[in-house]
Formats: sequence, structure tokens, C-alpha cells
Amino acid sequence: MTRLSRGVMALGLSAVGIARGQTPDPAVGARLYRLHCSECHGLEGQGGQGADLTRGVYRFGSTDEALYRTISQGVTGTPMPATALSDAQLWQIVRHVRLLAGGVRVAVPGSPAAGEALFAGKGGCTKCHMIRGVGGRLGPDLTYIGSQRSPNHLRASILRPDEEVSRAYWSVEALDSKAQAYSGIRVGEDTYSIQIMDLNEELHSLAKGDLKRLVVDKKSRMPGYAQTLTGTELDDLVAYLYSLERKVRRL
Amino acid sequence: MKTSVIAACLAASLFGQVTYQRLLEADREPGNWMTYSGNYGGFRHSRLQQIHRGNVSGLKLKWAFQMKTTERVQATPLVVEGILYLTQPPNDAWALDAETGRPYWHYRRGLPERINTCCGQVNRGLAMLGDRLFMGTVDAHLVALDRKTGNLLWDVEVADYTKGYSLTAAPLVVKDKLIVGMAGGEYGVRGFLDAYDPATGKRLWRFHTIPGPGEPGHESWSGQSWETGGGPTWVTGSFDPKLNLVYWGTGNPAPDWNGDVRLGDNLYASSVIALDADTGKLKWYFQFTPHDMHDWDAVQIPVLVDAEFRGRQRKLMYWGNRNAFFYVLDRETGEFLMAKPFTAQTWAERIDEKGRPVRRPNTSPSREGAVVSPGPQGGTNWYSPSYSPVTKLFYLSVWEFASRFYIGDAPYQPGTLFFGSTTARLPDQPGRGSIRALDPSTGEIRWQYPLFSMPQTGLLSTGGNLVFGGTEEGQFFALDAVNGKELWRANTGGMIAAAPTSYLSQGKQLVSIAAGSAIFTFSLD
Repeated sequence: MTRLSRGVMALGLSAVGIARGQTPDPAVGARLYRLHCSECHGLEGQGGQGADLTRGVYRFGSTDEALYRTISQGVTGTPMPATALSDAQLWQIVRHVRLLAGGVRVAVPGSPAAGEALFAGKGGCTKCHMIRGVGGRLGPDLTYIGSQRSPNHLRASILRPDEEVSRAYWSVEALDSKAQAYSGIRVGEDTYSIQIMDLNEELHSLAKGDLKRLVVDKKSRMPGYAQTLTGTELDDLVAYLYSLERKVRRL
Repeated sequence: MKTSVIAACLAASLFGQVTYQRLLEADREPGNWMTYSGNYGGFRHSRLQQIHRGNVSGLKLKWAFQMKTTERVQATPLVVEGILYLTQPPNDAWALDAETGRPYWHYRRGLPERINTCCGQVNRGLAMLGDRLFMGTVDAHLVALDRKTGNLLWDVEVADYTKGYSLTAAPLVVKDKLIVGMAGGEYGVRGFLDAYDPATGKRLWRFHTIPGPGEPGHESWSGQSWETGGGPTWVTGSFDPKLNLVYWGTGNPAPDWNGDVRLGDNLYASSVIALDADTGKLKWYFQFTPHDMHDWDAVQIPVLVDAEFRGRQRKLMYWGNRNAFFYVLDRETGEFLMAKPFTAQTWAERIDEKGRPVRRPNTSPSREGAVVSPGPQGGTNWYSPSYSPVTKLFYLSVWEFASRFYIGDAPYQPGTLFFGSTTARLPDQPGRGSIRALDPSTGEIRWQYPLFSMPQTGLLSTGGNLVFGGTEEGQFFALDAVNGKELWRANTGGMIAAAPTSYLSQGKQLVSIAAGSAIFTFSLD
């Protein structure tokens, strides 16, 4: 059991599927997802060989019907296969994907307004995170984070940022042959070169052959907030981030 | 005089055609590339020497051909007398002028809506005999096309695609037969290898890789598990004309990660099979990974070399297996001669004197997830290795990584994935890749060319002492075949998941590689 699904399951299920006369059964959806989807999309929908399913917005349509169609027929031109799963099974998977994407809303303690003030003020979060075009670039854009992460996940990320760091945010220290030093996050890399955003948010592409030193640290540059925030403040910050929802357009 | 006229007429009528005789002697005409691996021994080696270590740095783009697909292009083109024949995934085909990249024709194939392929609707290429080209399709048909027009000559159903059968490998012409492998190991199919009549598409024999009741090997499956036992044949094999044996690798037993529902060794999954080319009867087999629980398909190219081994001249088979070991077998008898790991592995204590792995404890998939190296994609995979008769080295693409293997339920439902749970990469350990050169007499690593990402490239060695390959990010490179030093590279901008080929056009050596959805051709001028 994961911290995401634990939080969600405890609070029960939404109306997805029920409208179609289905019995919502989280265990069935989770099992089908694990057997048929997780190999490519990750056990928590975080993506891998397949797309990140936690965003709640999908390239081939984000309505329940579109999700159903994509899962059933696959996506031609990609490794996403069609499947002969039954109608009932497909709807269970649609619902589970909704769960993974935080599409099932839960109640959280805390004040979003107080959290917003903390975000810009005491927390210093805007230095690295952007929301609707305001803020820094050294951390993930959080405009729709409330649709992408459960409250438990958000809380854990604030307290222990090193626990789960996307490869696009690993820290880099580099020194080139002209003794120029670079410090920042690794935004891209291959055998021959590395792409960096430095701490001033400038982009650099460095040839590895020209580097005297290159250290990639799989840690986050974000500080942990366990000592900085009170319990109430943490609740407020989580409430604010969780309120940052993306409304899905019906297509 | 008379003889030369007849010879000229024959030459004219046969120009551009591939006969069995020519396939037998493929090494004598390095200007053409007539089978998937270039010769029956599976070498993927070009004897051409125009491009060599001294001038490869001057290699330039000659032409690129953009295909209309977003599927991964895994195909090797065939090249005969200046015409490239290649597939565009899923199942279109093109004939291109090797000099200009301009098309002669385009075959388009419509496909049903729901195709069951685990890993993309891919295709690895064509086979050719006479005036005909042959292609397997993702809806499990086999088609014959006219090489001058692309017209469809016949189309036969090989298996039921709605049950998860598909054809992705290039067929192999052996004598007067077309040998055809199938895919579907993630769908609980029952694997087979087929032979067809190139003239009519009539099936001539079928060898089931999972033995049925009463057949030897059937006892290696508990209960009814053999019915959905997998063992597909999704990468092209090799052929020894003197021994009259077709060698083919077989894929994982199904379900992939739950071995409890299929107790036993699960023959002949994750094995090499040696079949009589005329009858399809099993001469011998060797199972690399008995009771495979890690999806380590033995779908590599069998590389057939006659060489001295421990003081005795033998007919050998070299095999860089997905389970992370390099094997040497005697290909007359299937006798195990040697195995040595070529990359990180944590699952086997050793390979015993019979060739059977001695497993380490706690490496089977578990509820909590067992961390094992290599992960499910293996230490290498279907990516063509190369053997150079010049350096006598064996080159292969190598992955170094671990995954967490979970065991879970395995409900079989036709036409749906039949994994028996799942695996997960370790997020903070992305793994790394390399190209490695092995001394096949010892399995020692002679050199390595490290790569940031784990490569899906096939390799080509040449008479100019080069090894060509590419990276996940699209860099196409040439290495010194002797020491692995990088001599040249070019950024194609698209993932390389195919194998290079080399051939002549208007007397000049070219090298081609598919990358992204295009094929790129390089020359010295």
C-alpha cells in the first residue's frame, strides 16, 4: 500500500463509474491497474516507459469517455496497446486512474489563504517554484499541483524533499577547462553533454569532454521544512497547494 | 562466346534477385545486404573496407528519408543492387534508391483497430527470395510483395491476432522455405516457429516451442500452464547449411513474473532451439534460463563461428544472453562449453558444468519486490550483436541496472496482458549503458565504450575495422573495432533502436541507420 492510495481509499470513492451502474470497487481497479498498466505507467501512475498518469490531463482526452477509449483501443503510433478487457474492467481502471491523479477530492485541514501567504512569505517557496507565471524556475511549476498529488504526498515532499526527486531536478556542480564553475540543476544529459540551469536560472549546455569536474547529486536543492514550519503552518501550506486544481475541460 | 551470352542473359534476368545460392555465399558480395543479419551466421559484419579507421572522420550525411510514423523504427533495410527495401512500422514497406533516398514504391497495409502488441506496433524488416519480399504483420499475417512494384502477391493468416499473436521479426529464407517467428509472450500465447512456401504462402511445418501432451518436455509445465506458456520467437534466427539446422531463440515463459502458476523448467522457453530445416524437427535445445521468472527472453541472434575452443576446432555458437551471461555452445550437439557474465548480475551464483544456473536466494519475484540485476529488459536484449572475423571479437549493447520484481496474480484473459504482476525501476538508480567487445574464447571484456543511457542499438562491424552503433538520444557513432576508441559521431536527433547496415551504391560504401522515424545514410563524399 502506498501513501497515495492509502489516503484516497480511506475516504472512499467518487461518482466516476457509478453513473454507469458499476459497483465501485477500489480493490478491483487497483488490481487491474497493477496487472495491465503499472509495468509502463508505474505503480503509482508516476510514469516511466509510459505517460505520467498523475496529471489528470491526458493527451488523447481527459474525460472519462476519452480515458476509456484510450485504454480500450490503445494509441496507434505508441507502445500503448489495445486490450480485450471487458467494459466493466475498463471502467474500474478509468476510476483507478482518476484516483492516481487525485481526481477524487478529499477534505484537508488548514487554511488555503494562510498557506498562500506562507508560500510567498515565510516559506520562501516562490524563490524556486512558479505558480501561474509568478515565481522561480529551479523547482517544479506548481500551478496544478493540487490535481497531481495527494495531500499526503505534498506533506511528505515538503518535510522530506530528498525522498523522491525527479531526474530533471538533480543537483549539478561542474567545472570547465577554463576554470568556470557551474552550479544548478540538471535539466538534460547524454553521453557527450549535460544541460544545466544554474542558480541564476541561466541555461548552459556543457561538453563533458571539456569538464574538469562533474558531480551529479541525486538530492533536491529544496530544504526540508520539518524544523521551519509549525504543524498548523504545514496544514495551511498543504491546504493551499492542494487547492491548486486544474479544471478538466469536457472535450 | 555462346556461354558468355547465356551468362549475360542469366545475369540480366537475375539482376536484383536474391537466390538461395546468393544467400549461401552472402559474404562474397559485401555490396549487398540480403538478410536481416547480413549472413546466415548472424555476424552483422560488412567486409567493405572503403570506410576505415583512417578516413571515417570524414563521414557525411548523404541522404535522409522521413517515414510517416511515430512508432519506434527497429528495422534493418535489405539492399540489393542499389535498392533499399525497408519497413515502416507498423506494416508499410518502401523501396528506395540507395544513391538518392528517393522512393520507387510504397506498400500500405491497413490494420484492424485493436492490435495486441506488448511494446509497440513494430517491425524489424523483410526477407527476400527471387523477385519477392516477405513481411510478418502485427495482426499475425505473412505477406509477399513484388520487389519492383510493392504489389501484394499473397497474404496468409499465421495466427489469431485477437489472442495476442503478432509478427514483428524479419523472416529468414532457408533453402526453399521461409522461416517465420512470432511474438506475444506477454499475452499467454503458445509459441511456435513456422516454415512457409515462398511461392504460395502454404505452411510447410510448425514447431511448437511449448510441447503439448505426450511430447518430450511437456512434463516441464505444471497442470495446464503449457497452454498459455509463451515461448515466442520474435527475433530472426540463424542457419547452418552444412548441418541443415535452423537456430532460433525463444522468449519468456508466460506469465512473465509469476513462476508459481507454471512450476517446472518451462521448456523450451528462454532457450535456443536447433531444428532440422526440412522437417522442423527438434535436433537439440539449450535452455539458458530454466523456469525464467524475470522476462529474460533468449531472443538474441545466434552467432555461428567455426573456431578453436580450448585447443579443439569446433562449430560454435556465441550468445550474449539477456540474463547477463555470454555463452559458448557447440552448435552440432548443443553441448554447453562456457558462460561468463558480461555485465552486472545478482541472480546466479554461477553457471554449472552443464550450463544450468545456480540461483542466489531471494532473487525470485516476491510480494515485497525482489531487487535483481539485470532488470526485466536484461543485460542486453534483441539488439543485434556483431562478430568481426577480422578482430575475432564479439560486440554487444549492454545494460547495467536493477529492478524490483513483484509477484502477483496471473488471471489469463485472452487478448489482454498476462504479466503475473509487475516490475519497477529504482528511481534513484537509472542505470547505465555501454558497448562492449568480448573475447569469445574466454568471455573476457576486451574494451568498453561507456554510454549515459542504456542503448537499444544493434551493432555493425566492418572490414575497415569499425564498429557502428547509436545511442538512445540519437548519436550515431563509429568506434575503432580493436580498442573501442570513438572515431566519429553524428547527431540524428532521434532514438536509435535499430541496427546499422553497410553496402555499395555506384561502387561507393554507404552506412545506413534508422533513428527516430527516419533512415539516415552516410558516405565519405
